[in-house]
Amino acid sequence: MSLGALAFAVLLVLLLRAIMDGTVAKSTSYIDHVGADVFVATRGVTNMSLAASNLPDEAVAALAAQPGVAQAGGIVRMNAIVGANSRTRPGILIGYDPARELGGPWRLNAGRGVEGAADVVLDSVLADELGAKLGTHVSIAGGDFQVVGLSSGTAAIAGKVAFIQKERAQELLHLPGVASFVLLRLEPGVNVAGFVTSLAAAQPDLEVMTRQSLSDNDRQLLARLFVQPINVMSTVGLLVGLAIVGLTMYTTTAERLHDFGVLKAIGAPSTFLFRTVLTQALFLGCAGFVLGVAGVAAAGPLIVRAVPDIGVQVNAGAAAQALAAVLGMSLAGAVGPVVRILGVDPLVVFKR
Amino acid sequence: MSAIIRTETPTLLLEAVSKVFRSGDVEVRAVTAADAAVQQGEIVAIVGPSGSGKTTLLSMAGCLLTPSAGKVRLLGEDIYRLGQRQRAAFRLRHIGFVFQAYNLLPSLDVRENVEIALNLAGITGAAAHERAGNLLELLQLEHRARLRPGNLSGGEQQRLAIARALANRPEVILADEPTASLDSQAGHRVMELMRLAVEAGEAHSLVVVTHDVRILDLAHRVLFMEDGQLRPAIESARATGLAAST
Repeated sequence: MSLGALAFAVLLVLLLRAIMDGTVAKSTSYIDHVGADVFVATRGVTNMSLAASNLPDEAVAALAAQPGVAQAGGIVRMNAIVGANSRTRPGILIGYDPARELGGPWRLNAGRGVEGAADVVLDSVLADELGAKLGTHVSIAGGDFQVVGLSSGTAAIAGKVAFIQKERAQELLHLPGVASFVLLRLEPGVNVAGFVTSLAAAQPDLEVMTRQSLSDNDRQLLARLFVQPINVMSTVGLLVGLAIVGLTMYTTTAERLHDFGVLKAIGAPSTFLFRTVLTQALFLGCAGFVLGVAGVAAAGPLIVRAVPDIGVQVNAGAAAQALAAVLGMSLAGAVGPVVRILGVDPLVVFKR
Repeated sequence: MSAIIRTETPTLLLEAVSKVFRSGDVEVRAVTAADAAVQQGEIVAIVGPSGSGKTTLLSMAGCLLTPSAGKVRLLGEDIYRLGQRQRAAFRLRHIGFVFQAYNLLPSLDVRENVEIALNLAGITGAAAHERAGNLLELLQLEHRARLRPGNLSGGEQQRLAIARALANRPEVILADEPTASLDSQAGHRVMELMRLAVEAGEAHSLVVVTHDVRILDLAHRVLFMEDGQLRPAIESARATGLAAST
């Protein structure tokens, strides 16, 4: 009973935190998986999610000519409403150049990549929500498209991605010849950080970022904006969970006050009783933590299956924090019982 | 029957022990100037009606309840002059308790319930294991060693409580109505085992508070308690003629 309550508390704390971390991590899935080592934007644009970056198409060719660059591709990125079968959903439109093999979907569940101006590859989750299949006609930002492929790993809380041809995206955006970002894949062995530093120095009008730094920037931004409610829930969960831990420890020990009275009667010193309570508190805390982590591991995939926009990811740091918090509260919860034990009259042994 | 060894320093000595409970203006005199001496090897039964002060007297004899007046000496030591920590240590080393409600630890198994008393006294590991095993054998519980107390019969639980009480070879066992929750057969067996334990030297003496008249035959002396007063002792028939050394 006590162990179950503790495990539930840990599950609550860890799961909410894992949802927050997983959801934030998933929100940069495009940046993390599209295959680019370096992202180039307009000077001052340090994130992909919310900032508007405008680069001339010529920048793609210029950057592709830089030493160490294996592949360069420009993308147009915009938020758009995607509609099909009389349903609409918000999405993220990515226009890319299929010929350059950089910037498009990296994993297809079905169909093929974008080839023509009317082709669209929809995120699978978005397609399900719209009731769209391969061949379905969809409208995006006023343009008509036909679904030719379904991608996976492209759904996030900030939006699900629809991939189209870059020129078509420019047309929809009324910005011909303009790309939002240029993606660079470097040749094997090239030092990414060194490349970024030298390119940034040579091109002061451009913002040059490694994949990691852009991903970090976006995660921090999204954590502040979109994930704030989850953060609040996570904090509330932590407080509720810790209260459960404390109360559980208190009641567990209180239930055994008679046993402590018996031990006192037969001559157990107070130090032994305290040690027993604290050991029990730590044991329960650890066991509850292990069960809670197991619960998160079991619940995580089910949650993601039910709500594909979000992710569930247990970070070692978060787990260590949860463990420390649970052990701390277990010990804090044991303080009350220890005080009560001090006051237990060993004469309880004579009660019939 | 065990031999009573009469010495100048009895195992347990009560000198004009009194206990008064106060609640506001109400004063209840539970025990009044009780005198008693329990010698090594002696089994003493204290009988009397409910509310006569028997358990209060036993609590004071067991270092658990400070008398309002008088002295309790165990092995010559005035136990209430000791500090609380020393008194706990004294209880652990020199007194074994057996209660009507058994008071076993439900989260520990049979063997662990005995070992805990040994562990508290600093006896651990193989030594504690062996001693607990011997006691369980003596109390005919060795085949129940891995069970929890809740899985034992009442008689078995009380025998386990006796094993725990004997763990540190106490000078005196104080038993409060040890047979009250048992049927006659189990009750008799429990008392017989306590008597055998005293004879075997596992405990030096035994004081039993009881309503059970069948126990009286096993005691060397019977003390009567009424209205908080301990009446003069009566030597039991079995005690008469016992070899007593001085």
